[in-house]
Amino acid sequence: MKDHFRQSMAWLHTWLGLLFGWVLYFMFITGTAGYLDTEIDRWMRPELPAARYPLPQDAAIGQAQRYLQTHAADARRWSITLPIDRNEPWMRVSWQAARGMPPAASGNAYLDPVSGQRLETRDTAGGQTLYQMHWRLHYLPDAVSLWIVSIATLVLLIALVTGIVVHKKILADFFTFRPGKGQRSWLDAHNVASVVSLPFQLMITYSGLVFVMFSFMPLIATAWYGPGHAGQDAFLDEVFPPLVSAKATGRPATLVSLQQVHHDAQSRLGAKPIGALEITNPNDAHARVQVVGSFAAGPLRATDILAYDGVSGEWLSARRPWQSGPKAFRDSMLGLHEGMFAGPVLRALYVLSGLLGAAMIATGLVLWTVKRRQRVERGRGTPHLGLRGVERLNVAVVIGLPVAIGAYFWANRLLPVGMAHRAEWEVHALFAVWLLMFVFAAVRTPARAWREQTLLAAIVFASLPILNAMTTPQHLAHSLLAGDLAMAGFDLVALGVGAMFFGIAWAARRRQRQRAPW
Amino acid sequence: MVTALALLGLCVPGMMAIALAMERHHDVLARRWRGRRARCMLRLFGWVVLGSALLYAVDRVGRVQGLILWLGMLTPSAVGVVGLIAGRHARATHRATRS
Repeated sequence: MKDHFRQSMAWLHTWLGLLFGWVLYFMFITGTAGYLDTEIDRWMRPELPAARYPLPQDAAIGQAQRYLQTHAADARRWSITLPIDRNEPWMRVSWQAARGMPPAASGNAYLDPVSGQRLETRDTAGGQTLYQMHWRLHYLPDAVSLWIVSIATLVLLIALVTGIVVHKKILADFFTFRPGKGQRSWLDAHNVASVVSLPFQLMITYSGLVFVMFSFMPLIATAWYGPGHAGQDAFLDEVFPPLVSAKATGRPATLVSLQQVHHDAQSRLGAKPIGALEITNPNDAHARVQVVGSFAAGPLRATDILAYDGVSGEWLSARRPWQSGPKAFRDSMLGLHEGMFAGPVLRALYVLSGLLGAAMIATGLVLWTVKRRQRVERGRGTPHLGLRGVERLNVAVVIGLPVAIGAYFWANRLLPVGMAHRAEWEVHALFAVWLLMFVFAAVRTPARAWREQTLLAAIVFASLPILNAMTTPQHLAHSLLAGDLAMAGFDLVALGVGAMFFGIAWAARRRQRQRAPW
Repeated sequence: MVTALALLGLCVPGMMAIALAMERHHDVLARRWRGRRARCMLRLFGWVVLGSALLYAVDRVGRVQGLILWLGMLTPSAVGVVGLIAGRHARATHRATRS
């Protein structure tokens, strides 16, 4: 009875893992890159000066208000993001055009907090797009990719739990890795990668589901609020009540000095940092200013929000980070998932755990093929189409995706700066190169494709610092001397990733010479 | 940074001791260190050190973040111990096949 249960769990683990492994690997790699999103953003915008934070905010806010008043006086919404930590290293302003205006009337800009001048940068998709890919599968409509991602996340949770069930000797095998033993080694690697990072994997999967709960389980809200968008909106309005109403009167009025609002807010918040100012209906009699604290203060992803009258500057209301137990639970799940509160050490641990998650999936996918390949080589059956297909898909996904991400960074430096739709073309470059890797894997034998693509990945990453030095003045020595740690860090990590792929390519070569079965 | 290094300095030996107490890896030790008593002591030592690492983390960065940091630190520590032990096993088999 017990063995039968374990066998059926093993079946579920194997086949669900195979079916969703590739999309989950994509989610893990791009999601892990997301823990370094602002560092990647910085590398992809070499025109920006080295980040300096936190800054004296008062003068910076004055400059931001002046800039928005000059460039976006008619907008429906303004937002000023202050440089307080690694999550927001520069002062950024953005504005949303009034209803009925073309989308081009909305925009955003990085500002110099001292001079108030716009900091011109190249048009890039940046680290943000790369990070958002892990739930927004780029070319698919939002609703479709949300469903795919939600189902994949649920599958991962099932795969983790069934994995624990089928792993008979989870404690005895905890520290066991036996290299050079074919299938045994792959199973050991799969087990070690999963077990040593299991708390993270369970957390990231469960909290991922919490992220999508309203759209993944819409029927729960529908039962109480009625079907359709109206019901959904009514539900969301009640879960997240807006702090200020957003109706404009149409009567013009002068916007209050934001410095004055900021000053009052700071006196109410004490030592807590202020991260952003949101202005609704600027220059209208019904203007509202919201002062938002920092979401990165701790694992609870919630903060103080103070609302002010945008004409008189009078304080209206406040919302505290802690609303209710269930909301706080949700906020801490989201906070743990995003890890915005993480300092450099914890951030490195997040990245390591994410990579181990990717390794868990990759070794699982390889294990599926190694097992079947061995059976074929022992003379039991022929390599069927499925096996040959999966072997090739594995190369194209596991190694091809990193190559494609490397190409994304190359495109950032090589596409002409004045090019139309430049940011989109960076993403096209990523997917075009990835497609090429699929073709590559289809026409080579899997063993050769592994070796060659790994070598390619090594070259693509290891040469990024050289490319950077050739195309910008911010070469590694310069950024190290200037103390631009994000820029230097990217170059160094690229070298590290390149070295890692060289290592894998070298090991694969040695292995094939010894004709080890894998 | 100091906190991180100190935590790593506690977690790696702690995990190593627990690993060496296990039946599968115990023979990595020199013969005179082996035995039932030694395994008990190793296991006890390992858990005490890991426990004090948790207390240390909580003391340094607070209850919630301390627990998160400690859980996070266990991952590279375990990876390190797996690597060290796999290396020892490989060397042992290498020596055995040569002699």
